[in-house]
Amino acid sequence: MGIKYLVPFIVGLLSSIIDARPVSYPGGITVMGFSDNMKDSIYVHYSPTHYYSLGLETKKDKYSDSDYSYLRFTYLLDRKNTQHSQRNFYFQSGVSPDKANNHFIGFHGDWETRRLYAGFSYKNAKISSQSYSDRFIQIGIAPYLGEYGDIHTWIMMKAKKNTLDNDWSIYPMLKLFKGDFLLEVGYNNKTKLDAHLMYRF
Amino acid sequence: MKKYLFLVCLLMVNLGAVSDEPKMQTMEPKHEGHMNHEGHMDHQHHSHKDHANETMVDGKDLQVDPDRFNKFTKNLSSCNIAVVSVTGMVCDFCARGIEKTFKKDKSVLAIDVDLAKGKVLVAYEKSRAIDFDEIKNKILINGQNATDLEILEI
Repeated sequence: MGIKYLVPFIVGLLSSIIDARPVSYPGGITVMGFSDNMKDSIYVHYSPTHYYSLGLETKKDKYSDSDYSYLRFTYLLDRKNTQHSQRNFYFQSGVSPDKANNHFIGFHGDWETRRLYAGFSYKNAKISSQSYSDRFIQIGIAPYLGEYGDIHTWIMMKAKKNTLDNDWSIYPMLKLFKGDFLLEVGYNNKTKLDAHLMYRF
Repeated sequence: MKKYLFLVCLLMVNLGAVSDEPKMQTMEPKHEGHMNHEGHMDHQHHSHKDHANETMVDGKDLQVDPDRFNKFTKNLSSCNIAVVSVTGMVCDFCARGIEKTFKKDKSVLAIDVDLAKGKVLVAYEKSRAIDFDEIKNKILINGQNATDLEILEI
């Protein structure tokens, strides 16, 4: 792993995704939808154990104007629970069932309390013959502490960079969740709409 | 049981434990129960229906929200409640799996998650043996850790 991979890795460890729980409880099925300036995708994953999940992501790549899918594998590398916090660190990977040349590997992590959140994601991907990396860092605060079953709200800031796009884009996000449903929306002029929906069965 | 209640009352009087503010404490003399022949923690059970908001014997605060506990037990009768202390339970969305996992067990009558206190309350049918190892595993596979268990009988 080169230094260019180590830096976001360490930054992530010190801070930390909004893929809230990319690995679910055993038998859990999660459906996610993503949309931003680079892609629209739907991702469904299943967790046989609490250590890993297997999934299928179908993706419309807005940059290359192409459609493809990934068979995804996510593995929980580390988790630390304390009375008031939880920290997670995951390995993530995907390979296209149609074209093995389309693949990615990466890491993501998060640390959160009931009040504060920090998360990161880093992916190194190859589509056909083009390689790129996709990364983000996100921090957030809960303006109030809801009880179990309430609508929970997070106000967040996200900074992300895709090397195909080159510049960092920084924008505010609003995250809401209630029960098994989660919605996250952000916007700025460069990224336009960054939306993430999730439902866990 | 009468002997136990007598001792409890005696302790309450001696400690001046009756206060205006409801306070729940464990009725368990110790958490390290004996393993019974089935390998289950042999936690002692104590009637709690009439003492849900009173101070109990070993001085260890259960830190259960009295209002929340009363709401939880409102429609329950003749059951055992496992009060599980959980670490890492900081997010409602992430704690949903705990409820789903426990509800697969038909002997579970009700479940509540208290994010603020880090407690999971599980009401079991009275005939059901409560096994801390089983509970710990159910919490663990959802991503948190169960660190302590109290059993209340109502």
